[in-house]
Amino acid sequence: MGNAIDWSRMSAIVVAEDKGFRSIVQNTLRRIGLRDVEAAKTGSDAFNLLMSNSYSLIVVHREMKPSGAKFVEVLRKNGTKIIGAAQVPVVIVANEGATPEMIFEAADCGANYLAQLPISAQSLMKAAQIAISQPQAFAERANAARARLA
Amino acid sequence: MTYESLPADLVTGIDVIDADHDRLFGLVELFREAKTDQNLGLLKTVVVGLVEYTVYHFRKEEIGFRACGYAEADRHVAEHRKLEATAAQVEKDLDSNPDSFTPEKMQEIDDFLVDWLDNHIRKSDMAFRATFEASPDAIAAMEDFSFSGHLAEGAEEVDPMGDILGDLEG
Repeated sequence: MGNAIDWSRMSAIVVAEDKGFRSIVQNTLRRIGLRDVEAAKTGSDAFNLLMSNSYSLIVVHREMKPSGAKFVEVLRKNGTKIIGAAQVPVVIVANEGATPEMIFEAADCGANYLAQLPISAQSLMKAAQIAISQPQAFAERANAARARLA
Repeated sequence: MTYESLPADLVTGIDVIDADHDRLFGLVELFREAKTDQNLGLLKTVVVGLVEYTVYHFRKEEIGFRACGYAEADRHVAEHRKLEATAAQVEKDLDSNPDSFTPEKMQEIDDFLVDWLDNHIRKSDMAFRATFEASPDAIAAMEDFSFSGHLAEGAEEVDPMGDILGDLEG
């Protein structure tokens, strides 16, 4: 994979109701070397952060209320009111046992990757790298897999 | 320099080493929180993270040893390999038999990690302090070895999405 992204120039928001998820994913992103990693307990907390700063990446827990996918859908639709927010690369992380349907759901809501717990730093870095540098790749691959199922 | 999680009496004075030790103690704190969480995926994430960061940190020290020709390198590296094997076994057991991770066993792992880090830093790492302090080349070589650079080695094979799609893609 090469390491083309300079992670020290990247910033991120981790969105999750679950405190453990927020702490663990924040810690992982900081170890990877991201400069600034904020945490948001709800989608509206994340929107508040997006209004005051720009971010390179959002990592959102799928299992929250409203769901991570719903958050991404709202971000893609209403994020245009905040400069750059609608285009922020998003990785959704699902709990263990994610299914192909969750991948299709993530692609449909506008996410740029879906991974699942447990997630190593290496997997999260790879997911983030694809979301940032090839934002269409996830949807293309998901749609191709869906077409095979049809 | 003061650190968030690293006890003051374990600071070696070699910043590039101390920063890693601080992260390792931080991961032990996360393990402590995650072991009471109902989400097994989060506990596994912390354990995987501990193994991953421990291996990275050991490789970094070993780069430093080579750069300065550290005389005690063989003995020190043997300690690294021994812990790596133990940590990898814990990761494997957690994956294959999570029910065996009772609160007592989790506490044993917690105590083992803290004791190991404390003893290893206090005895073995403090012993290389003077050698590293006298070798700017070793410090520079270790500073050049980033965690993301380490992770990028072999990341070509990693496919988080493929793990979910299974054989759907043929």
